[in-house]
Amino acid sequence: MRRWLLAGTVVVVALGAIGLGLLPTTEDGFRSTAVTSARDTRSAVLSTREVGAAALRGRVLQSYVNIAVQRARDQVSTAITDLVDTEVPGPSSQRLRDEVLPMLTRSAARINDVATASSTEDRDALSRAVDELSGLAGELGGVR
Amino acid sequence: MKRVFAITLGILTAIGGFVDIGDLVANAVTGARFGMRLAWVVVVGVIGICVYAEMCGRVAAVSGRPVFDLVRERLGPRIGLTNLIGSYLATLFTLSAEIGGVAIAVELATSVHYLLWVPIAAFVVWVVIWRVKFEMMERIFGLAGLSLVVFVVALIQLAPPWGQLAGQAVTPVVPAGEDWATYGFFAVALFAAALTPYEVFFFSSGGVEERWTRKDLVVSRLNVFIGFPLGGLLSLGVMGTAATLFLPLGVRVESLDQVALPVAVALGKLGLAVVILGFFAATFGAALETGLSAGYTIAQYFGWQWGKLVRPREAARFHTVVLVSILIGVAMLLTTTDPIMITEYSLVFSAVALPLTYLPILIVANDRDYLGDQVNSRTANALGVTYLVIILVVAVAAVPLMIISGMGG
Amino acid sequence: MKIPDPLRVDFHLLDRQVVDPDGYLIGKVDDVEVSVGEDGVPVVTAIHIGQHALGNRIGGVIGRWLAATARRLHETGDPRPLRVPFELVHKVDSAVVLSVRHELMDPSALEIWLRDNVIGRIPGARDAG
Repeated sequence: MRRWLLAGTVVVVALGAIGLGLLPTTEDGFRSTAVTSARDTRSAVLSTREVGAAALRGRVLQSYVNIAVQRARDQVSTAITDLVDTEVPGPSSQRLRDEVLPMLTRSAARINDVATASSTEDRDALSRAVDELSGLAGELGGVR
Repeated sequence: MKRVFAITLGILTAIGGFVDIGDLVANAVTGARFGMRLAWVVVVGVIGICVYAEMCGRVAAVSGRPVFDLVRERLGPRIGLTNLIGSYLATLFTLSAEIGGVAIAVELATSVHYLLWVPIAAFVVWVVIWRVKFEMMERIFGLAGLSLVVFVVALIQLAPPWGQLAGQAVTPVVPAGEDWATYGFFAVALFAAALTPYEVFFFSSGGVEERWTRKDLVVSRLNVFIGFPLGGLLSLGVMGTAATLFLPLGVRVESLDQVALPVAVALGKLGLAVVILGFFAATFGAALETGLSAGYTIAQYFGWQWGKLVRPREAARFHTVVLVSILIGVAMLLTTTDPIMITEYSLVFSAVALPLTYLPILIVANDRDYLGDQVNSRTANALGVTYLVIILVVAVAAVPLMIISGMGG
Repeated sequence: MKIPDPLRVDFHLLDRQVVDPDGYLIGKVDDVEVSVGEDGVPVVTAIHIGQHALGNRIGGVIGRWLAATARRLHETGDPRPLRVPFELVHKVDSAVVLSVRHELMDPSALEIWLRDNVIGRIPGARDAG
């Protein structure tokens, strides 16, 4: 008797979980994904900006810059994948997507610039990349 | 003079050995998100580990047996087995996380992907367990782990708004933009990081490996009551640097390189090099301790010959468990699961297993059959029982908080 | 023989660590053998050490599994736990100390197998740490 009860509960919970997964995305659900992606990207962007600024002042080892940039880039690509994989439920979501997605791809590119500029010891490029990351962080912070 | 030197060395080792991957991750992540608003949990956790490590040291010194050798006698073979399975799995997860930490520390120094370092790191960990003398092993990595003091230096160099940090520390409330479940989840993680079960397995078995007697009680207590709180101070240093640099920016800490960034900003290349060395020493030392602890728990349940005082071929079952545990730890990492993720899961798992580890210590430390006149004092029991209640609450809350907050999402 | 009086089997004996005179860890008291003497008083005649005995005491799936692995590993074809007559117990303290050295007893099958096939083959297995 207890076993059947247990098995029944497991089946109901499993079906519930599958059902939730199959439900179409709502506008609110899409917005929340977009905001999370923007937030995570902003975090990676600002973290890389600090790394770039430290590199400008000669405070970090190149091996460290490479790894820090690579991690930040991975975070941004995860954010991009999350957003791209989410089904677009309506026109307002489409507008949000068109607004956020380019910011994310630009972030990935500028984060990359930090590693390139730092490894070629191109101070001008590095300082440009750092400035652009600051601007991007501001834009990303505006996503609500 | 020689004695003073030995005591100092022991305390320094305890400080350096206190911090492991769990402490590094939990403290940096919470510092970046909550500032010092969860610092109180570190204080509560450090007092807890002091209370219980002292009991373990006393049991080892007086009865000549590590605490977990005695658990089965007092709880019976069935509950003892449940206890063993929970404690072993928590230790195994932690071992995997520590090996991952070693690999990432080497990655930061070389730019070579950490997954390539995982098998090498694990092999070196095993060779050290196999070949190096116990005291030598503990001393070297404990002392090298002291380089994490650089976090405290960096915090001072960063000249943070001290008043603001202190304000956060004394008003432990959920800040705006965060919910109570996330706050609770990180409180659980920090508490588990301070009281990770392997620390007491290792501490009590280590006491037996170093052949403590009643004469060593004072030294053991000094190590615990001075060494651990100072180790906790290093943890707070990690939290403070993250709070200073990352909290105002809204940056979340997701990887070990970010944990080191505030030090690089404050102290430059040399500071960064010292931090990477500190990461390496702390995680490598903890990998040795968790690897041995995995062997200790199983061997002590079954009564097998264990430890590093005998030749490996005379403790074949013990050494096999250590070897297999390291291999399982490597396998978990080679699934390419992020080591930081494994660390966070290991902390949750540890939190759930805490009562299994700490209840038996309290029972054994009150047993006149083993301890004679050295049973727990009233103070020790009052503190022990108080902490047991906290531990039970943490253990029950851990998984629900993990689910509600989505691992702190 | 230094043995607590009265000796409580569950409290002083069962699950306690068994060591030889040099402190070599032999195993745990996984079971005890009791017989009733001529005067009707039960006496402990032997202690049993080995996963078979432990598995039988634990019972259930895990207990059966423990006992089965112990039987499977036995190479001598004598799948029984180590039986130590109680006369060989020297004292019962925080451990049960025997009066004979471990070399004189049948070693654990699992230990021998792992020593001969795994650990003993790794270089450095004969050096103490």
